[in-house]
Amino acid sequence: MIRKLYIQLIWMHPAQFRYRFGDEMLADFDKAAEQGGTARLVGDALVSLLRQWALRPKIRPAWVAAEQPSGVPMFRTLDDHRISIASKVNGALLSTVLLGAAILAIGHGGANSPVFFIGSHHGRPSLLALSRASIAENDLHTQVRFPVEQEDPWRAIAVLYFRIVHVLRALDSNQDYSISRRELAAARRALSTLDLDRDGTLSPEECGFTLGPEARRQLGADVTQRARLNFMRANPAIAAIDSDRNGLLTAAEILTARTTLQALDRDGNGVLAPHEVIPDLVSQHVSIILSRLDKNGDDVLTLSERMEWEADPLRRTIETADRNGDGVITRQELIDRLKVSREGKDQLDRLLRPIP
Amino acid sequence: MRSAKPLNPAMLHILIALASQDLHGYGIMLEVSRESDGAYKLGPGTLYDNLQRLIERGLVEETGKRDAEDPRRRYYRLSSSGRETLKTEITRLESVVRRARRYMEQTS
Repeated sequence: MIRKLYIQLIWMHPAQFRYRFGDEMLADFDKAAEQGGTARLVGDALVSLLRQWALRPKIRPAWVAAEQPSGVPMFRTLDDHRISIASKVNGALLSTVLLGAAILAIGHGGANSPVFFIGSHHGRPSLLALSRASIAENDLHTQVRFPVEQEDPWRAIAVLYFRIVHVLRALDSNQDYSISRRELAAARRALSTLDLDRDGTLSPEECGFTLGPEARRQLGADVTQRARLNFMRANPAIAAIDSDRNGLLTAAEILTARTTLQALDRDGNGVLAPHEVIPDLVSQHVSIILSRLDKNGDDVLTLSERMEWEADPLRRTIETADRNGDGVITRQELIDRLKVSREGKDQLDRLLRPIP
Repeated sequence: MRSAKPLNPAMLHILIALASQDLHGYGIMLEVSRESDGAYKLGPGTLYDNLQRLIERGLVEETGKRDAEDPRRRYYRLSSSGRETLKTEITRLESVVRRARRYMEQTS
């Protein structure tokens, strides 16, 4: 499809250029397209097309370039000039492409404006034979009602969340707080922009994890490292890309981000809506618990890791989370338990206090 | 024949690519990308548009040889005039860099 479009673009070039370089352009396109980036190649051909017609005087008709005698007006007719069929086809194709682009641009130009009608009760003498007696005072009862737009409750959260999680901010190129199919397709390029140190991988800090030097000093290296790891696991979009769960988005993971992110599309509509990428409150709280207790960062709480929290009232709730009785409590078990526990819900707020 | 105006970046890169060896169009594209560490990538449209101008100005010429793998591809080489133009351009750029460096040292 793209190749056919490229061939058409070559055909639209001036004949002199086309005959000389057309075959080579196509051969090079075939070779370069194997490496990807066909859109860039098509754009490049469009620029070349414009440049050839606009800037290369040699392709203009001979009579235009002919020297004009000074002071003598020249008149030309086009009687002997017949437009070739190829030119007509090219013209039709170019018009269709431009019209399509214009329609597309209009269609995606923004939200539709609400339509409403305003009643008017101003008779104008020039138009109507005004009889004031016919206008009763209580006749002016036109009401204007503006439709009340239902605000998406997720949007307010998404505005903040997308600002914090750089991965989502990079993916959401049109800043509508949802990741469309087109944005998913461009995931690799978007994520590459976050790689500030150009090492090919994205660290928690490059993904949005923030902790000042003072806080890092207070928490210590171990807790800070666990908090970094949990940041990567608690945020669904990052966790989906980080398939080996090592807390870094590697070049290979970035390459397959488009596919791995699609796993979050629970309703299967091809778009990642805010409710599909924002973690619920309980999941975030579980991340805080794991940051405190999960010493080795394996995402489960062993008995020895839980012992340190013996005196805490939430301990009982945590202990009952081990549904399969294997002695270790996984992240999911903890989430499931806290969601149904009244005791857990009551005590969750306590977890939000600053880590000592 | 020397070029009166400075060369545009695409032309300069093409001349540099052809300075060491004869290349076909795709070879020029690869060489330009390699010599600029991938920072500058020529598409076929830009390449042949500029190549056409270089040929018209007598700076680049066809060798008459075709690629054995794909006979659509022709090989190009730098003409003696093109080599001279490239030298002049390099001298000009060196003097620009020298001047810029002097200004930077004065202001820092």
